Amino acid sequence: MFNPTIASITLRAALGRRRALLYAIPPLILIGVSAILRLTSPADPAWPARILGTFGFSVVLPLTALIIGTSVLGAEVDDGSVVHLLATPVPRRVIVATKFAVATAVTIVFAAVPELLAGLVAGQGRLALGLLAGALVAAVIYNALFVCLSTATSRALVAGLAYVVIWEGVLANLVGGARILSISHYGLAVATAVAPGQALKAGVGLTAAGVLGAVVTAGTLAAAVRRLGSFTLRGDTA
Amino acid sequence: MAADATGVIHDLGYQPYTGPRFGRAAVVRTLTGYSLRSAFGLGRGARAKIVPVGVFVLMCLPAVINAFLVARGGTRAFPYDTYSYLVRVVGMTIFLAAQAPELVSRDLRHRVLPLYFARPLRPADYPLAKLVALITAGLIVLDVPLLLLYVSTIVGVHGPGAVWHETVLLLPGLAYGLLWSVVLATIALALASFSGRRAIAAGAVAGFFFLTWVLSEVLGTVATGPGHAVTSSTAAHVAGLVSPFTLLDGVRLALGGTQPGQVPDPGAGWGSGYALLLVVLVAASVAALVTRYRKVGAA
Repeated sequence: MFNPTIASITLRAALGRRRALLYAIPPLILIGVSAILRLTSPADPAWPARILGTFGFSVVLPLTALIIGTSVLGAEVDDGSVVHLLATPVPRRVIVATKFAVATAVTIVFAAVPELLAGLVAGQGRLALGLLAGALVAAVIYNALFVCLSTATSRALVAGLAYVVIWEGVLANLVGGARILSISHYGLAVATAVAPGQALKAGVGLTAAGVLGAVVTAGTLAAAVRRLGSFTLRGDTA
Repeated sequence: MAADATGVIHDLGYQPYTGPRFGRAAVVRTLTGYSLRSAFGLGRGARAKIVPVGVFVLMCLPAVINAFLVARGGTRAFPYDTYSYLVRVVGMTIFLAAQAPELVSRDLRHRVLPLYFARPLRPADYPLAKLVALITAGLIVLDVPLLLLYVSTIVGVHGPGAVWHETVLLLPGLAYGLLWSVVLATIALALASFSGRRAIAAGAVAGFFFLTWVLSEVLGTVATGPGHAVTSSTAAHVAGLVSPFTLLDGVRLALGGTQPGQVPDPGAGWGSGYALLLVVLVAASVAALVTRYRKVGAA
């Protein structure tokens, strides 16, 4: 279920040409802000949960996953070189699984590990571990969704962006009901289970998050394999 | 003329065009108009229209809600200056992330810039024409809903005095919409012009706007403590410096905006600081754009 050749090519395409520097900006902001707040100790004692939970989980993590998850397969679809990949005797499910694994690994490096580091910078070890666990889970689900999206439409980034900004960014933080279907809150539920008693404000329970997260991951990956199975290459969108 | 020139290798005898040609102004005008059309996906397929038209409809929703409320005898539900802050932030983020790369990244990607510059066009003309087009597009998205709000309100008020009152309130709102459009479109176009890949450019624009906006909001909450209204403290003012949206909101309050906003009223001191930072941001973005197109042909 894993093809090392595809993985190395994907990894090189994802991180080459100074792109790694671009991905490094949001996590650096996250860690930098945590360091500044640690030094100035603001009025709100629950600030690590707020910065790392709200900002980290509903902005940094989804945006990183969005850009990486839609580009691992989407970039090849975009420039047409995906036909060479699809012409090889590699099963489509292996292609999807490999791309998904690489995207998840890169997202973990650029979004989940920084959550751990920022938590440690903030001086809360338990919270840092919880955030890492939650971010690992959220990275897996987000990337499954975005890889699927990039097989479905050539404008995956804009579609995913609308979802991240409107649903995860605004509705899930304003409307309680939207949290049940919010991937950020699945991650926060896991984080809360590891580090209870923090002001993380997870909108769903651990069981519900686990079940729904697993359903979303399996469902979107299966859809991506199906979609790639009957793939037609279109020209640049008119 | 070719007949009496010496040293001509090939003269097949074709008639060249010797009449008047359109100059630089016409090229810039056409480029601006064409870019404005492409900012809304006009003249292109239905799929290119989904995002701009969708955002425009989203931005008009508060005005439509207002029309219903006024028709039922209510008063105007949304102010002219902030309109609906949340809808504006979300709408402009998505609109610019989707459409700024549409204007500049496609030309870079398909390497057609040398064709543009084969015309009597100076290096700065191309980015500035694109910028004017994107600012106009942003202005349409921001101010047409305001005009709808105005029209749907004045049909429900009585007497010329009340209509005049609404008009006086509307005009600063329109100007404020122009300020939003200039600031956001300039930053977005400068960011987008650095990548020929539409996805990367859109990610950079959206990342910048969305990330700084939420960061500023969270910092504002952290600075004032949980459950409190936004209060004036140095930390809260500093939090407002992070995002273009909060800068714009702070400038609005400093200029005498009455609606409470995302940031506390910065007063004259911080307000001029916010305005100065906005000017610096816009100037830096324009400079980056113009410099970017000094050397063309690179993807």
